[in-house]
Amino acid sequence: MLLKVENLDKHFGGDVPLHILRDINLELAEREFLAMIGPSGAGKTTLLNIISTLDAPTGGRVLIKNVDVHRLDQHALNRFRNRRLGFVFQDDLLLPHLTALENVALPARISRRSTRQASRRAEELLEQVGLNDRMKHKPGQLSGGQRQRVNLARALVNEPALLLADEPTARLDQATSQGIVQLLGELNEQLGVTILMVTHERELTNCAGRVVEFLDGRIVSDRSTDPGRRTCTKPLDT
Amino acid sequence: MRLPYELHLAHRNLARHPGHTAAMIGGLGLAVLVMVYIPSTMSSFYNDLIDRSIEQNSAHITIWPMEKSRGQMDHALRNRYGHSTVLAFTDRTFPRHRNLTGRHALSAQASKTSGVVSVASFVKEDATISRGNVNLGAVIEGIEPKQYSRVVNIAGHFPQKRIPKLGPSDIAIGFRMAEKLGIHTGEHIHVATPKTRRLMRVKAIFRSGYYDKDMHHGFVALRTAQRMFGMGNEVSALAVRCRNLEEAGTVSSTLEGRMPNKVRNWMDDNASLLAEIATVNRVTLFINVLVAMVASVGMANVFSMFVFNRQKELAILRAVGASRASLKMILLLEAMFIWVVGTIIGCTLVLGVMAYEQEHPYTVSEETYGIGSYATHPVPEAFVVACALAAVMMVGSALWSGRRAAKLNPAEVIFGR
Ligand SMILES: Nc1ncnc2c1ncn2[C@@H]1O[C@H](COP(=O)(O)OP(=O)(O)OP(=O)(O)O)[C@@H](O)[C@H]1O
Ligand SMILES: [Mg+2]
Repeated sequence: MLLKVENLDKHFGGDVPLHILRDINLELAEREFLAMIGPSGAGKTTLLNIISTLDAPTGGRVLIKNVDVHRLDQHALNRFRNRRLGFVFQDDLLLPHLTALENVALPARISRRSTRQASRRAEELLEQVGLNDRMKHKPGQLSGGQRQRVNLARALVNEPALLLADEPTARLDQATSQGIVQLLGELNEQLGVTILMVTHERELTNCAGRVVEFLDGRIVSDRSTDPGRRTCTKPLDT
Repeated sequence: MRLPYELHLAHRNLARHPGHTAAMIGGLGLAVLVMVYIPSTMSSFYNDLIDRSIEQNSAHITIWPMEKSRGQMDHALRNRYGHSTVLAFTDRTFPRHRNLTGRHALSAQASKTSGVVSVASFVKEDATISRGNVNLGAVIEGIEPKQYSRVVNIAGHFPQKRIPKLGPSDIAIGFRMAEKLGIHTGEHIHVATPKTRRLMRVKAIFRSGYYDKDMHHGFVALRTAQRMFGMGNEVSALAVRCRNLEEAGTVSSTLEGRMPNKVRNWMDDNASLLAEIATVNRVTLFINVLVAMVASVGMANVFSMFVFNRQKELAILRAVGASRASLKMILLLEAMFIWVVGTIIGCTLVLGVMAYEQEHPYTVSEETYGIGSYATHPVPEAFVVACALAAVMMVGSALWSGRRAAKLNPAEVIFGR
């Protein structure tokens, strides 16, 4: 198993104590594409943040490749975030003063790959997400959908074991959203990237091999879709 | 190329905020300018002052006649005037033997003392100089020019930078005295001592830059002076030059131990000036530390604003795996860049100001200071101290603002909690 979430609990303190995640158990095999769907406020982002080590659980643990990620020391944690995980956040988190290419190359530079190597890899990925002609543009000069694709390329530059995508299509129109999801499907199928994607639109789960439904901090359903029944079509150019 | 990405990001950040960057560079440059200029100008001024008053006007050490102790003086008075008169005299009546006896032996002894470079004997007595109905009190100094110029650097005061040969009736006077008497080189003046009055030819007019000397001083040949004051073969005192100014203290105490004479060094003679310099140095240091502190606070503030404005970017970097050390390194590199450019600009500016001063020196009151003008010279120590303080300021600001930024939880910044 690539990812194992065991008895995960999350409380938030404060004036009104909240119990957001209740005893979550989830497993994800390599090369799987899992879509998590649930209403707003269900706790999807919270779960993803805990898996991505940006947040700590109140109880339970998260194992990625059999490593308890919340017990890593600072140094190992930096390395782990850099090499093993790729994130696409709900908001696009690009550095505004770097070009698309530089943004994508950044995690590779952080892992001390040479500028040349990092750029070459970033170019490949940008081509793959259909942005050959936007490499030298800064985020401010790109559309929302293009920015999300840059994010996706950045998440993949270090060939992560797990790609975490938290509503990668938030604030995008229907067609663009579909294009992004299809791109994820393609990456999953062709490159074998393991993906955990969160969305709250059922239509966007059509490329995923497995759909988990989330409600009030609990998993309420978990089913695989038959590969033949997937309606994932070619990505649109957005 | 394997340039660390920290360098790349630091460069990008500075380039993206040119106004901000320029403000920090300008601020630092200004601080460096002030921190170099203040100590440089003070120490240049006092170095000039010391150079004028010590190197060019008096000897490092002067050996005067033996001072009579109180007991000896009482004894002498009693012998001469009887017991009843003792109370009527104060000990100022005979401060010391008038002249230096045994000067050749003393001179030889002084020359042998380590640290001593040269020794010259001189006569120094009061006289009156007159021309027509203008009378002036003056100090007449009898010297052997060649020997004396090895002890006191007065040659520069004369035309052609040479002490002229002084014949038996020649005198060299200061330019202020010459103006007052309305006299030129080659003309004659009267010099009256308690013993004689003679007509002397003005051989040269000097310019010491020292008001009192230029107004009330005349040089004559040693033998002439001895004759004018009826001193026979005796002199007033011995002037001693040491290897350097700093050694004067130890050399003078050595000499004092070896001879019964009164030995004074330039520090005794300029105690008030030295005390003044020490005070000014303290104040200068205080001002510099104050400047550095104020500038540090300002710089740290600007820098943490600079960091605060891109908290989110730093959080993103953390989220994609940059270490805290890397974030600090980025800020440190930015600080170093600002430091290098800021200090170069500050130092260049201050050198420019100093070059301008060389061309257009400040004029100061000669009556008060003995020097008519001065310009700030670059003092290497001031540059080193200012650059070091600037580096401490920048590194401190970077680490201080970086410390907070690195501790931030990336999730909290990214998700705006
Ligand atoms: N730091 C926090 N402190 C207190 N409560 C929090 C905190 N973060 C999230 N919550 C609460 O946890 C609940 C789940 O939030 P979460 O962001 O996980 O929802 P979500 O499923 O991602 O919703 P959406 O689809 O709108 O993004 C919400 O009710 C939110 O108010
Ligand atoms: Mg969410």
